[in-house]
Amino acid sequence: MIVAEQKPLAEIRQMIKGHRKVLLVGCGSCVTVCFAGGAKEVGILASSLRLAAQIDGDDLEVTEETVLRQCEPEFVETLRRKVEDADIVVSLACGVGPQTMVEAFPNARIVPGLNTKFFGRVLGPGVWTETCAGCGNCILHLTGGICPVARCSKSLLNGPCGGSVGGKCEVSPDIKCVWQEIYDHLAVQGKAENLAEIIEEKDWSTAGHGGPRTITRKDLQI
Amino acid sequence: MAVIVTDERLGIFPSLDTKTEQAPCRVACPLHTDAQGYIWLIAQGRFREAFEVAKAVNPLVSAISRVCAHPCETKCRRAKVDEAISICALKRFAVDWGREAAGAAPVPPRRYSERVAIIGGGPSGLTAASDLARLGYAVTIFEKLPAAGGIFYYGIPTYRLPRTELAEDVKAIEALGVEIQTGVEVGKDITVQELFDQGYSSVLIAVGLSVSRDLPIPGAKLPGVLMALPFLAEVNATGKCKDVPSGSSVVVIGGGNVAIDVARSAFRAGASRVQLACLESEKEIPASPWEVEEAAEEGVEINCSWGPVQVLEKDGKVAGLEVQSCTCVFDADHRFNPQFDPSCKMQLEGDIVIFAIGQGSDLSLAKDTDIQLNQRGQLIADREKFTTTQPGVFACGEVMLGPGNAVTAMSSAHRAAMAVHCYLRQIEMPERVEDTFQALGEVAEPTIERIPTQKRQAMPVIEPEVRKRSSEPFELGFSEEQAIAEARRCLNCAAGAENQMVRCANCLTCLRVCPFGVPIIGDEGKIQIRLDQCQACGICARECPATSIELRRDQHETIPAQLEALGVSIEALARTADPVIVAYRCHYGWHAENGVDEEAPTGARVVDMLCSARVDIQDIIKAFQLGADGVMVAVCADDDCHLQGVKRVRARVERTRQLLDAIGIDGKRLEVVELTSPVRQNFRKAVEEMTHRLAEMGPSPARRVPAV
Ligand SMILES: Cc1cc2nc3c(=O)[nH]c(=O)nc-3n(C[C@H](O)[C@H](O)[C@H](O)COP(=O)(O)OP(=O)(O)OC[C@H]3O[C@@H](n4cnc5c(N)ncnc54)[C@H](O)[C@@H]3O)c2cc1C
Ligand code: SF4
Ligand code: SF4
Repeated sequence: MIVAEQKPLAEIRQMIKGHRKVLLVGCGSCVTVCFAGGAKEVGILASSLRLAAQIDGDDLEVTEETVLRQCEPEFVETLRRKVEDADIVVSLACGVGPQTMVEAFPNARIVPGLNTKFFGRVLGPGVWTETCAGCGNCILHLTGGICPVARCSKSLLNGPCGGSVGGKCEVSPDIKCVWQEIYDHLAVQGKAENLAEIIEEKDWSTAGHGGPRTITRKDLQI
Repeated sequence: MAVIVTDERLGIFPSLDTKTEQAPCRVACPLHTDAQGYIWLIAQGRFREAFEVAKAVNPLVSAISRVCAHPCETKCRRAKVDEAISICALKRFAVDWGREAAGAAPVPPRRYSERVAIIGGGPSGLTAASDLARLGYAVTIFEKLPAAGGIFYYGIPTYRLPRTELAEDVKAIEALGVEIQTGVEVGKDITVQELFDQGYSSVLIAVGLSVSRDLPIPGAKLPGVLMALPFLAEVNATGKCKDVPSGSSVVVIGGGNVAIDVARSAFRAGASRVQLACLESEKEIPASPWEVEEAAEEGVEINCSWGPVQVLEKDGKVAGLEVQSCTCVFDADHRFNPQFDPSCKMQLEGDIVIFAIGQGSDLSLAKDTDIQLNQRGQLIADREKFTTTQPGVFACGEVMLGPGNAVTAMSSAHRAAMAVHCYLRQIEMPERVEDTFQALGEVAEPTIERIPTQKRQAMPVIEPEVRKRSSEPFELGFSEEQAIAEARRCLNCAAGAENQMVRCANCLTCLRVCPFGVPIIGDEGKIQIRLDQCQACGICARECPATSIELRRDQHETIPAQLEALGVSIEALARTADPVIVAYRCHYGWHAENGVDEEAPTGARVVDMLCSARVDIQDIIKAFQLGADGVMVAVCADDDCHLQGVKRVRARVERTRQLLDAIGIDGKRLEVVELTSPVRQNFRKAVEEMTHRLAEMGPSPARRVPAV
């Protein structure tokens, strides 16, 4: 899933400064699951904004909404009346959400309440980690099912580099060296010798360096 | 036919949930009393409300709470963990502690012109009268005895049921406008036809079974041979029986609860020895096991598997009872068909023999009416429609059902009252939502392993040697501390978490936080919260990021109102200079130790939470919004939380502190306090200290206090 994190309250307050009617829009999918922008977090943010406004003597009206997926124009469309009624909309979705909203409501002021971080998974309650880089050309079959593009600090295809010490990355002792993990994993399977083969130069043209990527499926187009 | 909710039907259920899955105790109760509901309220110290829930379906709640056969306890799911909840004793506690403060009788929504006559003022007659009065009818009960109550008035021994309790119930029924004419025997003093002639539109027969039966054995007509009901009636009224002189040796025939009542009453009437003979073996004996045990404690000699042969005579008086061995009571088809071994006999010496082998009805009122009886003299009545063979004449209670327990008789009375109403309004009998109830499944082994065991509270009783000579109640009732401890044991069946699904993101948070392993990934590959395993701790509901989980019974939505009731609002606090503390306090922890004494005011505005794990971040923010200078979350010590919720609350509070800092309120204004022993002193001290710290910090920036 997409993992995001809520912006600090101060930053959100700064963005909405000078606006009276604030609409908070959460998203019921990935960011709900990572506790950044589901109905619950929308509620907590709303309460926090109200209390902060109360302290500062600001006249603030906060409304709360959460749609199932903020990346879908149809879902977003259901908010039209509320958006039109608001002075500003804070989107608690990954970066796709606010952009979908902007497209739907060109006249509205839409700001992001979250920082979108990565494609990742939960390691345990409260901990998420980046796991896929969305490079557009998957090589997991060559690397024991562990992605060096996302998880090696240098995205090396034929690691490790000389900085790998005791299973840790030279960038930080908090980061595991993914090439060590790849090696260990293949060794368990008795396939460590696979690593002798050099992974060919990767085609990075799919990785988004050539402008925004689009997929078109003729069979699905209406 | 539409299923209609009981609320609408009689206005008697205070907004209780009517969903299909229900606690097994509620399903097992013939009245479908919401036992989990009142137990939950007792656990929170809300005794008046507990009483009101118990009374909602039971107009004789005071009396029943002393004598109920409590089929609910037999089905209680806690039994699999350790022992069943002492449900009936808790109901009595709710009566003892909640009745006085309870509200006045409800006013019927409308009044109909029709009048209804009820023959018999026993539990069924009284129940039907209460329902019909609440529906808006003018009801008169005709009772042949000098007071209402039926067997509760004349039959049940006073050491089990003090008549003052019955009188409370009857008083409340009269307060609904029910007229009770005592000393009027229908069939003798007035006929059924005369009732119709007097303008009653419908007649309900609730005459019960008032005639004790005997056996045609030699000696049965000797002086000194007595019948159970007249004997009990006399002992209950006078404390003695003129036919049982002090020091008598009494032999009781029968093995049901009535026989046990007779045997125990014989001691109270002055007998020095009491023997009982019954056909059934020790395993089969129909009397409730606790009754048998209590009788044995008092010295009743119980002889199982013996059938009476003859009453022995000496000088024209009773000399004892000859009995023969009963080899088997029921045949292969479970029919009553006792077999004896005449070669094995014995004699039970005694000067009084009392038959307690069953009761029959006296239906002389049916003479010269269209009310038909069958060949055995029993009333012909439809058990679904409650009709008799005469139009407009209905029946309910034991006269229709035969002997059983009181709540079963009363349940038929609720339905018969409905039948009378439908007859008078010319409408169809509605389906009852209670008939759709299904008991939750069993608590599974893995869940049981995670539930800490807690001993069932024992009812305090008077010593057998003392009580066997006293007509006073021998059960003393739970103390407040005991009641709360017992109520806490309840597993809160069917009161727990329900996933509303629409918002659920299948994030698996509930699965990860539940201390009891209740949520699982179900067959459909989606999260499934198993209501039948849930302990209603509320943790998942407060953690769910999609706010998709609701608790069937929650206090959450009442928190703003509770704060307001405590005077926590910006306006109300505007002139207060002293620091204002809102304490969200775990009710379990608070009452774990010393439940009885009055709470001395500490200055904190306390919101009781049934497990502090139910406290939400937004509840804390709300308190600051309303002007609190500080918020305290009072929790149990980690190990003491039987719902294992403390860790979660601590983490939540920590996050809230950071949020408060960002909002502009010093996070130190929010504290977690542990309710350790001595709980009350420590809590008081914690409040004092926090008050002191807050005074130094000055008022919260969220409220504006004028300079004093
Ligand atoms: C000794 C004894 C102990 C019991 N203990 C328990 C117990 O502990 N727990 C429990 O759940 N159940 C107990 N029961 C059963 C319980 O008492 C009955 O289920 C219940 O009383 C039945 O209620 P009822 O209204 O149908 O009949 P009853 O209680 O018999 O009431 C019928 C009423 O009708 C009156 N009546 C009869 N004929 C006429 C007439 N012609 N005109 C006017 N009035 C008339 C009678 O005087 C009586 O007041 C006990 C029964 C007995 C006999
Ligand atoms: S545990 Fe509580 S709710 Fe469940 S059956 Fe027992 S008394 Fe009823
Ligand atoms: S966390 Fe508590 S309320 Fe939720 S399912 Fe588990 S036991 Fe039930």
